[in-house]
Amino acid sequence: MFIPAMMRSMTGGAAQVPASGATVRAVIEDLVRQHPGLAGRVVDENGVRPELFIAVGSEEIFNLDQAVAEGAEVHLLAAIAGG
Amino acid sequence: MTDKPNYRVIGTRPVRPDGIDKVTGRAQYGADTRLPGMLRGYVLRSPHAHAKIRGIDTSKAEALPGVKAVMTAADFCAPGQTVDQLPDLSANLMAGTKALYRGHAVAAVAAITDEIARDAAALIEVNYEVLPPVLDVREAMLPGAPILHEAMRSRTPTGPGENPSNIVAHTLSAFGDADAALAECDVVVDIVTSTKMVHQGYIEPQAATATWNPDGQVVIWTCTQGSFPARQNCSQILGHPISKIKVIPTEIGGGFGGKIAVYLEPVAAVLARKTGKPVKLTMDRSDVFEGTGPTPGTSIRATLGATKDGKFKALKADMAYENGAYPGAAATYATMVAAACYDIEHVKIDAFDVVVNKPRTQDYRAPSSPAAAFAIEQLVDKAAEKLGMDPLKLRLANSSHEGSRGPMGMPFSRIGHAECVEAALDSPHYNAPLEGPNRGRGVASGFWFNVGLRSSVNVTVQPDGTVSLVEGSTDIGGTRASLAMQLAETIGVEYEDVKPAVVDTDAVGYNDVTAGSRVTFASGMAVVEAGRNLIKEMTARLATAWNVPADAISFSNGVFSTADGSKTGTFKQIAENVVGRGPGLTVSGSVNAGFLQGGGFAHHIVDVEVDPDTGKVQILRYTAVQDVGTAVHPSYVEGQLQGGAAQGIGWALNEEYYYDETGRMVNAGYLDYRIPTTLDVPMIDTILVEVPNPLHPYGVRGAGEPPIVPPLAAIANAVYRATGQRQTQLPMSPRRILETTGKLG
Amino acid sequence: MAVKDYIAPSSVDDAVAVLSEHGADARPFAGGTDLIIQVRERRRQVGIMLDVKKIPELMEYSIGADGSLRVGAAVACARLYNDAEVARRFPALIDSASLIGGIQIQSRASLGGNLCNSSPAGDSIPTLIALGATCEIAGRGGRRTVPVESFCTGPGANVLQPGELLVSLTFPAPAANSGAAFERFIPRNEMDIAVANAAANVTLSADGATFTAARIAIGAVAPTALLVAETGAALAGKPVSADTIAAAAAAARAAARPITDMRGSADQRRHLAGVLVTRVIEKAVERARKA
Repeated sequence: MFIPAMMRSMTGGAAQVPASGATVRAVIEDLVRQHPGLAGRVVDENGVRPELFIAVGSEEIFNLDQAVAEGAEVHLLAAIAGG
Repeated sequence: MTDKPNYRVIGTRPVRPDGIDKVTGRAQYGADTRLPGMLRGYVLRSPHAHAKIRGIDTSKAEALPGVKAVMTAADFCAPGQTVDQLPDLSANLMAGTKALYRGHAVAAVAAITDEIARDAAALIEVNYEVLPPVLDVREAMLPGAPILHEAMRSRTPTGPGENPSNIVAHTLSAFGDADAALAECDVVVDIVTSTKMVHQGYIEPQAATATWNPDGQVVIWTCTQGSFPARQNCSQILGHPISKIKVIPTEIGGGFGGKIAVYLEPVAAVLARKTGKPVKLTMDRSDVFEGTGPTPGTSIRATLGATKDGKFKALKADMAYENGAYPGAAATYATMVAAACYDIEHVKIDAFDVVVNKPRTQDYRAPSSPAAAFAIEQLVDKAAEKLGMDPLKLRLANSSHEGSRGPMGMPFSRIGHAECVEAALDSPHYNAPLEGPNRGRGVASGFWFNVGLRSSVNVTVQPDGTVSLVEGSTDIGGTRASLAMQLAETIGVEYEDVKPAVVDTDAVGYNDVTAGSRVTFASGMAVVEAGRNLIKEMTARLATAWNVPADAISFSNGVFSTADGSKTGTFKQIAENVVGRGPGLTVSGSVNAGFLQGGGFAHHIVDVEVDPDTGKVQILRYTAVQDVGTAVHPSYVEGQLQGGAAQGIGWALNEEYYYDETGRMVNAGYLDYRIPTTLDVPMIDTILVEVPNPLHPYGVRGAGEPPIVPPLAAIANAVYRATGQRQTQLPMSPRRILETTGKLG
Repeated sequence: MAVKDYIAPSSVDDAVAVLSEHGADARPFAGGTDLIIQVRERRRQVGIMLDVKKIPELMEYSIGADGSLRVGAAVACARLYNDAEVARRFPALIDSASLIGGIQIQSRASLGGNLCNSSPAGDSIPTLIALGATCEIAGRGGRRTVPVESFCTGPGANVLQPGELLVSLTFPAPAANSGAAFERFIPRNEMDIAVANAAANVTLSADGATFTAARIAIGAVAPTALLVAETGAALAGKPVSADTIAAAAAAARAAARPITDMRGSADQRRHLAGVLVTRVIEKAVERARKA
């Protein structure tokens, strides 16, 4: 699991954190179990936080129930726009 | 390169729908709003860069005949309440207890004329306790520096800091082990750079007008880059429901990121509430410089290591970015873009976001990327020189590519950096010899990730078979045309038969800001979706009319036909004859296009001549190469490349916020803040590389931001070749060139 | 606070009467390209805007029988540079008149206005000095003349007394075998304010080999544009050579008393004074030899 720069204070500075689960939702739940500071910061009761996007490998996904293969990279992306 | 499909409309160069209004002066910009009984507002700004506000006495101003209302920060909320959402944004709009930069708004007046409003503002008595300012990003980081926000604690990789600090955040971005890898590199080059705060320099100053009806309905006219986010911000600052605020976007005379944040809108709304009349506020140029959001000054130290064969192994950098008066994330952005052009295994970037007593910085075209490239692309040039390699071939050998890890750790999808460098290598410019004394050629690459985000459009079929395209994205760069073209392509009509309009926040679904080079990409996706929905709906209606199953009707090249070819009709015929007899037909297209578009890359080549006696740099020739995916309207895409290069030339050579020691910007006007004139910029040649973006149905990539990234470094590299002297500080003004080339003794 | 009145008299006497009555509250303007901006930006308080463009004497220019040129104080720069005869006889004046602002500004702005604004960086002033212009000033007591190098007394300050109005500038006929030129240095290529500027007016021997006289002026390197007598002296009687010109440039650098500000540093300006003096002398020599 790849953590965006602005959220690394909640993972002790780590940019990459191992997490397991069969779906994106399960992987995130595992991540939050390991790093409770992220509770509510990635997903809340309404789904993915609006300022975040999630990618598996090089593809962004919009369905938290998407399956995650063993060894896959899940990326949390903190959205910004630009000028 | 992938073969480009044979498009019918995409790739042509039609006239823009808004063109006639703009060249004849009929277009309505921010300051053109005029309403019956309208009052004029004026904002009083702090003359001090750093001061506590002990009290504000508005009684004399209120007593001046013609004055209808005076407001301070306290008026944003009901008495006793505080702004609980966006406190920094609110405090930046109007200082409550502390003025944090010169130009910081402290009060505002509404009066029957602009002159009276200005006179009244001069009668407002603000009791300041002046504090020492801190203006330099590195000085602000030192212990003992004047502290802007007593309650602020640094966010660091190991948790929050213990003491008040001007360092908003220390962000670490690390892949691999850069320190160990650098120790093993054959060639190591380093650089220390600094850049000054610069402004987007849009032509049109900010302007906003508001009405506030007794029933609480608020209407705001403003030249914003994002009417929906503006509505959201006004709602939060005013504590007023979104449903009661309508934002009407006017035409916009440039933004480049500087017109995302709200400044005047909530102030106009409060003054309208207090007076019961429409209130218009406009900025003059000094307000724009001192009171809006420029891009940060920076201080960067960077080291690049390579093998003797020219393979980059490690990059290490320490980057400090000014956030201006309130916390931001400019340096954090820098970690996301700095190393993007190259496939480097070991990267370590320590980034520091720092507050200083200057205007709160905002995005400016590929925010944070140009200053980072100024350092990194000079390092690449130094490495090429040390390795004895052509600087383009060195870039090609190390280029990022599909599947290589991007700067956020995520692998790139299909990108076109290498193709840009190859096109530069093959270009007439790079292959033409540059002769003559005091001349030099420089090259540099640049990256901006380009975003997707959310867009919505509505499409309505008109009785004559034309279609209206209703969109909510402010048109800054010709997007009425580029979206209408995508719709025409999708539904098989002529471009001239699509009539685009930008509408208010009540009239279309949610649209994120016109920024991040996203509109032609993401609103384009919404347009394609709407077009496909339209064809589907028309097919259903046609099935009834023709009395055939819907799946027996096909649509291609603008023609509906049955499988046996017995019945056919063009879009226009069917729209007129079939849709026209039925109920009105409006469809929508709404997308969340995700965060990333896959990445936009540019490469620039520049020839300069440096006058050794005066230090003046003349741009002799300039070529901008960019992967634009698919150029929907090539003229407007070329215009983006040329505009970005021109802004970069200004940033490189002459633009800077020039401060005196008290924190006053002494050049807050276009006389002494030198953006380039037409005589300072040669014709900028463009080379459009088209590597179709797999994430967009027509392969579009954002084009607006990457072209401002390479110029700073490209020009610095060229000046180095012309003079033998590396330029590590911006701007490379005549004065600095004389000083650094030893001409002043 | 705002401007109270606009008055456009039709004679010098009427203008002087208004200026005498209202003192510093009234301010004359021609093109208004400096004054209107100063008022709008509240950098200058003006009660009465006195438009001098309706005064025929201030709007006329003529070349006299003796070859001298008299230019009304409100004559727009563009009228001068569009006049082929003026351009032929006074090319240095055209150097200045054609680079103050853009075409719109040049169609309004005047030499008299540029002089009365008395900016240390005014782009016509070194040329007026090098060409030996005299100022004709009208007041209640009649008219007086002042050599242009004595007109400005500091940034924004000059010898005009309350009630006085600049009427015209008179340029003596160029001497035989003489040439003059003006240059400025700006960071951009247009629309800018001089970091330093300089003008030279040189007279050569009949064979073009020797300087017989020279007037050199430098601007933006002191509180007012300076007539640098030392530079002129460094040239007079000397052969036209790189060494002679270098000595003149050194004298100009020594005479400069620049400040450091956002437009340039003192060292940079002193250096530029030398560079520009070299360039204008070379150009003036070229013009003198062609004359």
